[in-house]
Amino acid sequence: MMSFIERALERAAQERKKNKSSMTISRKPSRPSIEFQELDPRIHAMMQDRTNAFEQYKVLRTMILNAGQQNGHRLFLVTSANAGEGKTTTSVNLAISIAQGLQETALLIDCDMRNPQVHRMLGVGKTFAGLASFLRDEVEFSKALIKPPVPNLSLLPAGPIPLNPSELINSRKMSLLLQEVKDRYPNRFIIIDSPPINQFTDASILSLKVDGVLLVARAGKTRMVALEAAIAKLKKANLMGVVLNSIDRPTSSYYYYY
Amino acid sequence: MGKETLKYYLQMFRYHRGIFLLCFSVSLFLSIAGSFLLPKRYRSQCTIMLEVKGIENPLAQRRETSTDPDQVKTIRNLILSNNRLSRVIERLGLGRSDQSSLKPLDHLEVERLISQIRENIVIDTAGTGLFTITYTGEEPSKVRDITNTLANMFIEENLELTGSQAQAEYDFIQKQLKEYKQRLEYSEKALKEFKEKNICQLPGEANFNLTHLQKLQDELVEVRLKSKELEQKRGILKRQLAEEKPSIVAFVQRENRIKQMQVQLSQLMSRYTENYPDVIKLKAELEKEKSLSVQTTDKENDPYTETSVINPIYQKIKESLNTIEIEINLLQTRQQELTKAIEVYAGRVSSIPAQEEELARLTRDKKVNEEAYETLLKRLAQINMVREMEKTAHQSRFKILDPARLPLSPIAYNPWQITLICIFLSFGMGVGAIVGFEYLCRTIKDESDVQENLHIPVVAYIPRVLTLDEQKQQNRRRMMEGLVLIIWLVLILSSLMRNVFH
Repeated sequence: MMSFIERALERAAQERKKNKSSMTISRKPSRPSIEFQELDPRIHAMMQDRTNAFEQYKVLRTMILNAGQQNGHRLFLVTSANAGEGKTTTSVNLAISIAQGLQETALLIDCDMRNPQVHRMLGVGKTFAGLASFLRDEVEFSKALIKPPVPNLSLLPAGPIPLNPSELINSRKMSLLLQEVKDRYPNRFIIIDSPPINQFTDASILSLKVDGVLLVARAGKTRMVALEAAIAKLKKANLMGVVLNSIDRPTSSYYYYY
Repeated sequence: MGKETLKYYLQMFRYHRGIFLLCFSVSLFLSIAGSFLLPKRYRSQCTIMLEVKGIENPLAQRRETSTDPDQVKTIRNLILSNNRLSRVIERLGLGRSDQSSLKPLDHLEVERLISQIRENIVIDTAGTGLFTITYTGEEPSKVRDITNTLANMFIEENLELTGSQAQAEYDFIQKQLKEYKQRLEYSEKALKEFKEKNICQLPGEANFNLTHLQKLQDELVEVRLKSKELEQKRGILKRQLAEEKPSIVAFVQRENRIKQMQVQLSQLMSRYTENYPDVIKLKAELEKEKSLSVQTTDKENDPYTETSVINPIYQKIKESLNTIEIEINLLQTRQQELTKAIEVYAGRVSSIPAQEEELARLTRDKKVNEEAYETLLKRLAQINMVREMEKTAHQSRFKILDPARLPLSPIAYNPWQITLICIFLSFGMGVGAIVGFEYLCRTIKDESDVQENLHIPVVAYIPRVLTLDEQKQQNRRRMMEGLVLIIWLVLILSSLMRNVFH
């Protein structure tokens, strides 16, 4: 189960040691201006953690792949009721998990233009271009894409924080972009990270443009009423289910058996 | 509690254990710290004996010398009465900063003091015939004084109560005695009048009345028979009389005839008066014969003359008839008398049951009144004896066996009790905080919450993943929790030690 990405990470660490640079590594950049750093400790820990958490993402990946095979669904939105419930972590982990497949590739789009976190989690330093830049016609799509240090994974970061994120997301260009990225490669799965649905309208807009929505809830933190409100806002969307995050329970002995 | 409910509460505790620990720690700290601030309390006890005297008070014959629970309850109510406690407060000058002050206390202040004393008093049995008054307070001297004052006042009032009770009973019995005397006199008079009025109708005269009634009835029958017989005889005589003529024609010498007429006149005169018609007629005939005799000188040649003479048979029958008439009249009179007498005696006989009942009632009333009067007289004599006894020697049923002493050291609280109370209180606070938080902000605990309440499938259950920093934080938190546990233990131990040293 030791995946390719783990081996890549190990290699990156060895290179960092060689270069004696503690936090910054130099790789073949997609663009010269981008600096790659370490993965977010949580992502790293999750990937190191060969326990139930990583397996659960694989379960989620399986569900996504099945939806793709059966219904042609390849465009998924990940959102949550409120901030801090783990939607970005889930988006990144799900994208990495899909990218680990033998045939599938993943495109992770950071639509949380107010508080973009995806690129940081994937160890991407400061970004100068991204979704916002593309939607404002400031940059071409191919130049906005980033190849993080995870094979088969592409990242479209949020880019510079715009003044009107909702309008950009609700724009025709955004719809065309989603259609384009979905149609270009049949084996590509697009995961969109969005702002909290109860706080901003972005997720509601996006939910109508995607094939399916995953609603992330954090055990012990997400309030029932908040989740009910989020579900109500996703009434017209294809809500595939809830990803229950941060469950505090003993690890299954079944898993350790293997 | 079902399995699901238990699981729910365990999850609630797991997710909100921080709130629980915070509330539990703060509450435990505050409650144990508060127990250190509790004021010192002193306790003083007075033992009172229920004394058995050589001369038993007749009024207290039914009282027992042992202190049963009901008696202790009664004593407690007596001691803790508002009136007595008010006098204790007044006597000891409680609630006044300056005890020499004569200014009366505020009503609310008195009520507060009464309530305070009542809460701190314990009255309990201490063996056969013994009970204790225990008072707990903050000032040793006041504790002792209140205990002794309460005990002394109780005994004094008990003594007064015994005397006043005897007097009250004496007055009551005097009044009753007077009333029952009147009742007895009335019942005696009523019985006497009844007997006088119904002297021949009393239950004892029943046989006599019955016998006499029977005798009268027999006599009446006899009289009726005799009367009937005489009436038949009268009828026969009347018929014979109708057949006979009152006079007959006879030829006799005038001289003889005059003699006969004289004899006949003398007979009639012996029976009738001169006005009787037969007498007048006979006299006239006699005068006529005498005149004819004077005119006739030759007595020897006196011829027989035809003359009318009274029929003797007729006379005899008539006499018999008269006699029978008289007898019949007499018998009728007797018959009437007998009938009246029979009615009287029959009335007496028939009224005997009612008279018996009335007599029994009057007798019973008299007997009851007599008995009550006698009882009251005996009781009065007893009470007189008690009063005399009380005059000669004061006696009380209670005696202070061991007066309250000045407590030198405060009483120790039960350390385990206080500590357990603090722990339970804090635990309750912690649980309450969790429940309150959950009630206000119900959060999702597991997949069943989502599936059952929102009917949305849970597609993945991601367990919590800790980064190295978070693991370090968790370790630090666990160390803090351990530290808090140690602090708790220190607090609990110090609380126990403090109370043990007290």
